[in-house]
Amino acid sequence: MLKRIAARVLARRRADPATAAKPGATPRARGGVVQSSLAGHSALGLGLGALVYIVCLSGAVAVFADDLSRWEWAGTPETATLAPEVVDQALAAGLARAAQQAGGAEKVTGLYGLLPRPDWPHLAVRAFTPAGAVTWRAGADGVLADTPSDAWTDFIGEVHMELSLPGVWAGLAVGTVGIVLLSLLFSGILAHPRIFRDAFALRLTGARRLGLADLHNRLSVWGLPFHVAITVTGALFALASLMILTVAQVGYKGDLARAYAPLSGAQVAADAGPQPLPPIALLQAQVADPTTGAARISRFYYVERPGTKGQRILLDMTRHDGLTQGDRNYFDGEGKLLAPLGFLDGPVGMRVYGASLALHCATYGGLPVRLVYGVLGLALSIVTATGFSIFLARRRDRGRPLPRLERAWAGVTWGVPLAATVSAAFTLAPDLAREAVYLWSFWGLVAILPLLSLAAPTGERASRTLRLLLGAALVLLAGAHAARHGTDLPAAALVVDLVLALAGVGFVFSTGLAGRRARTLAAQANPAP
Amino acid sequence: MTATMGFLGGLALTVLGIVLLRRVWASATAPRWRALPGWALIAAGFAGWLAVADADKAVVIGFLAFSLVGYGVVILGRDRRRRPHRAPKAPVAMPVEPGRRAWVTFLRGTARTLLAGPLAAATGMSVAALVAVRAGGMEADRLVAAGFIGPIGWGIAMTWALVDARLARVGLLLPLTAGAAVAAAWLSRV
Repeated sequence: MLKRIAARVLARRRADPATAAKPGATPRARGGVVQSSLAGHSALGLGLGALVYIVCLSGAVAVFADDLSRWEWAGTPETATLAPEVVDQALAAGLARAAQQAGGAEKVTGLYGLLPRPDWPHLAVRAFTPAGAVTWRAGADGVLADTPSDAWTDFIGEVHMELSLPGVWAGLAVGTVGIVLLSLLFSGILAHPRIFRDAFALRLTGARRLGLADLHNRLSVWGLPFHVAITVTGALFALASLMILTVAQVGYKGDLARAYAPLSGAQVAADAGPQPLPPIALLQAQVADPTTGAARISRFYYVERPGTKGQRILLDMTRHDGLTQGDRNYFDGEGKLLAPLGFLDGPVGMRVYGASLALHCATYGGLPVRLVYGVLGLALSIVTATGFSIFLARRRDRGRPLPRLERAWAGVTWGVPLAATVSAAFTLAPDLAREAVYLWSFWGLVAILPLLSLAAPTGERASRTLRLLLGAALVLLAGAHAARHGTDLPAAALVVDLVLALAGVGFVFSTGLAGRRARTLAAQANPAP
Repeated sequence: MTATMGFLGGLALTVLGIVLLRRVWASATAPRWRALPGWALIAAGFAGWLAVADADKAVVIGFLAFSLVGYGVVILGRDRRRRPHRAPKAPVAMPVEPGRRAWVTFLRGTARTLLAGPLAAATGMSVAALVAVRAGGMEADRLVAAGFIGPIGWGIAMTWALVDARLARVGLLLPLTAGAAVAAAWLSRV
């Protein structure tokens, strides 16, 4: 029966003059699309490859923000739970300090509390004033430290989300990088006509270009669902402000607040009269009960216009064990629940928005999901780096090498992780653990290392030198961190130290200066008689 | 217990499905439909993940497992034959491009950059604004839908501008789409 249907279809195709008149038209057209897709894919990757790489790699690191933060705060005793009254006192103390520093309570525009939970057993209070944000960490007793501190983990998150740029430029730059990555994914599929047939071929032992191409294609094909999901949701968040601005101009006569209203939650009218912060236990008690088996944890707390009658309070609270774990609940100045934002029970759009946040930030499955995200995020970074390297290898194979670009790209590929490691080392020196130091050390090295790499005789030599430096820096960082905290080191921080040290050793071995590869290289240099 | 069984079942079905795909795709002559059982096993694996978590979380975990198992099978099945690391014996000849003046190439490159950059962005944003303002349903739903349509539309427009050899076609259709979307949204503004 099936054979008969197939025969009929074939006969019809042969009889169709549109197809019969152009024999071979389809493969030729397909060949043209493949060639032009490849050209577009290369142009895009070459143009913005370095920025895409920085966003991808910093994202793969930032997914472990909780774990890295515990490593960074290893000197502060951990506590997974604090009495609500203790949290209230810490928030009030933070507000009082910020008001004193800013010259009046009315100058404190926002107060943010990062609350303790099993994944992140610390308390921190951050206040926003016209002079900037200031953060105090609390000890296990909930008492704020005397001096404020800047977290390196937050800095890496800002590199990923804002490329350290100010205001609307941050969203535009990162959003554009996201769109470029999305377009690279699309054009990559179009440029690969045997995407499925070749899905398992991995030949790393042959020609360099073939190995790079196989690695690039296999990592991108199997990671495609994750890479598309993360890129689309990332671009959505980065471009949100720009899109709301466009919608306001086009559809709401420039009224930004009106355009943003459906996503900004219940509002409270501003009133400068003084009002203390309501007890957190009062807020939590008004949030609906969780679904069976779900934890009831508040991850953060944010107050607009704190200390006034017109303060608007946002309390995050988990009450579900799905992709979306919790909702953002809004309260008025006296602490009366107004409405949740709707991540769990709201309109479809809000539920999709909440799920997208969880999907992008890996907030739904604990450490196992973060580890998987780390692997897939690292894979995306490798895809970006190898894409550029394939272009360079192809040029070399065609007899038109670009030696300077080869060396500079080695400087980018290994310079970015090295810069991140060096900037992280400043967390060990309390006087230097400042955002400005992280900023200048990271971006300074990201800019300088590709230039310094130009002094290397070849791209391969630049790559080996930087990998050696990266490996040594990681081992030194882990060792210095463990030595600084000694026996007080929490288990989570110890695991991070071990991972850093092992990664460092791996990079040192990859240079061929130790192990079997070193012996092979030595034998090649001094062949046996 | 159910969750453990679901986890093991989901993982086993995903592994089996991917191994089956590998066998089929390794054969140059195998017809395409032979891959269907592999895909069916992977799809069935999602039933296992549903026993581990709620539907939304289970689907995401299923896709994560698909990617990880795929990486695992590729790495385990990698070509281990030792080949000398060497450069090609002779430089590969460059494909001959049709004769084109340098300034034409430069102009086409500039035009393509403008089309793939600002014009593609304007098109994506305009279509997103149209959906946000004019599509049916609740405002929040429209805004979030527009939030997804904007980047995806921009990405597709960028890809098209980079891939299509006929720049005039792209140069005509992208501004037309953007203009029509803005006009339609503008007419129904509140």
